[in-house]
Amino acid sequence: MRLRQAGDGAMLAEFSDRLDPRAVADVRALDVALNAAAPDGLIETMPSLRSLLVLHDPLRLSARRLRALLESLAENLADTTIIGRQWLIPVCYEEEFALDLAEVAASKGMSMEEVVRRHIGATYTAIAVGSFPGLPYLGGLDPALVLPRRVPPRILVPAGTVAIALEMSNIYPQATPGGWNILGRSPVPLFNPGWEAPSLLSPGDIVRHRAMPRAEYDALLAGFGDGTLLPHEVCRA
Amino acid sequence: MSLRIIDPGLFSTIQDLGRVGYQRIGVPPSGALDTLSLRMGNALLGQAQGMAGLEMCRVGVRLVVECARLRFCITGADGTATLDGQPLAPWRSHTARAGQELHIGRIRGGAAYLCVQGGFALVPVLGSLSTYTRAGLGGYEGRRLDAGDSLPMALPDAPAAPERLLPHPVPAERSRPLRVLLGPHAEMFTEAAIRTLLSEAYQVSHNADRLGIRLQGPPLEHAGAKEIVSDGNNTGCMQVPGDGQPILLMPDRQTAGGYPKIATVITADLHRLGQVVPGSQLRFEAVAPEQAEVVAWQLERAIAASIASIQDIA
Repeated sequence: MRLRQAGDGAMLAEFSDRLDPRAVADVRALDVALNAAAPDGLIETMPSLRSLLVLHDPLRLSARRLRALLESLAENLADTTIIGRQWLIPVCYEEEFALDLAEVAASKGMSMEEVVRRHIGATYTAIAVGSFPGLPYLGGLDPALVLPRRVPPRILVPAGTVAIALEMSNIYPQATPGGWNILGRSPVPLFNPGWEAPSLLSPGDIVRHRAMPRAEYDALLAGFGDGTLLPHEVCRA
Repeated sequence: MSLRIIDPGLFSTIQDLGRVGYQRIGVPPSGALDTLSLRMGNALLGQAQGMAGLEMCRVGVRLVVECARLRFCITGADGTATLDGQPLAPWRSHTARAGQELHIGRIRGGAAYLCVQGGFALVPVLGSLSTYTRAGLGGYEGRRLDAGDSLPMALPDAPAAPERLLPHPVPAERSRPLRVLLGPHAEMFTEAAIRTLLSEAYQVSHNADRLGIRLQGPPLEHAGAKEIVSDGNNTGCMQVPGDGQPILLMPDRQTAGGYPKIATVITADLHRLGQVVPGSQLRFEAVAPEQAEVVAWQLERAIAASIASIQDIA
């Protein structure tokens, strides 16, 4: 573990500089241990792909004390394997939504059908949720589809956009800036502050995708929109 | 029992001290850009420092008071506030009656705050009244104010009481460099980049809002990789994309990001970021971690002393 001070109110506990399942487990274990220790002055923690960001009040918990606490917790991290829930999230890969599908296919020397087949064929694990409310970083992308983020990123991608970059796939819950390569769109809402757990997906959850035609996309979008459908019911695998 | 908005100004949102505990699912803290001014406004009204106020950026609101008696104050950047055309002094409380028109107008600085006694009758979302417009969370319908909105007041009739004055606001220190701790990724930049950051001026671009402040100046060169596998962001961190032009992340920022962060503004100076305006020049000064904590204590003591100086107007 490497501790990087991020100002006087935050500490970044880093377990790897790349995507690494061991680091994901360590981040989770340290997160659990620190929140169990609950030192006075701890504000909140944010686990991400390979590190844990610890936000603290410097008036109540100094960086020096926090550093010592994290180092002692890291010596004895428990194995915190979690069994996530299973989801089947439908995606419409039709041309109107699949803004980068042709480009991805060309750059990989595949047909568009094969890109979609490989995207559907993988079983993903939610490594982290973040950047925007409810946005899942899904690990487990088919290695044949690994490619960099787009430069420059798009200023706005539509809500529901399903996209890939690096070794991951994701779904943008809101219309936001985005630099990933867009393969399709899902009507499934991923975030609602009124739900008991506002993010549909949690780290550790298992996600698969299935392709659906535009008509079904429209029907689901309407159902989720007026509340007659709930993603917790429609998408449980 | 409300404030009826005639002109919403440029970007007016309800903000408190932010939303805590949901960054792990991608929800940024939001909250006042200049927390010091919000806290002082509430202190002037004798109420909890973290109560939500109306944050106005660059141009403030014009509104009509639709409750029997409203006690309020305006803090933050100096403006040209008037009540029925009569100029209003900042850093003191005022009382308005039903039908009176409050106009904030142009704001000479970043953010100004309208704090009202008793606060607003709005429902917290995920534990906070702060508005996060991108996801439509909190505040008034999750968005910035619009003409015709009616901001509901918690108190229909503020109790009669003497007005209060803050004779000694915490000094603004506008010309002082912003103090930073280098890191979390300082070693991903060349030594020349660190020297440049700490010696040159950076201009605030027009791309400066509640998400981030884009700066323009001598490019900061990465030593190697220009991107990282995403990790957590915190408010005040300075990320540097491939073009070398730094971005200071503000309270509505993404919770995680894939650019290296060369430095982070210390907590005691974060409120000053709420008062920067496009075109102004920023300079940065590195301090040691222990020094940052000393400064944080000094600021809290200065705030306590300033609040202790609040007095009734005879």
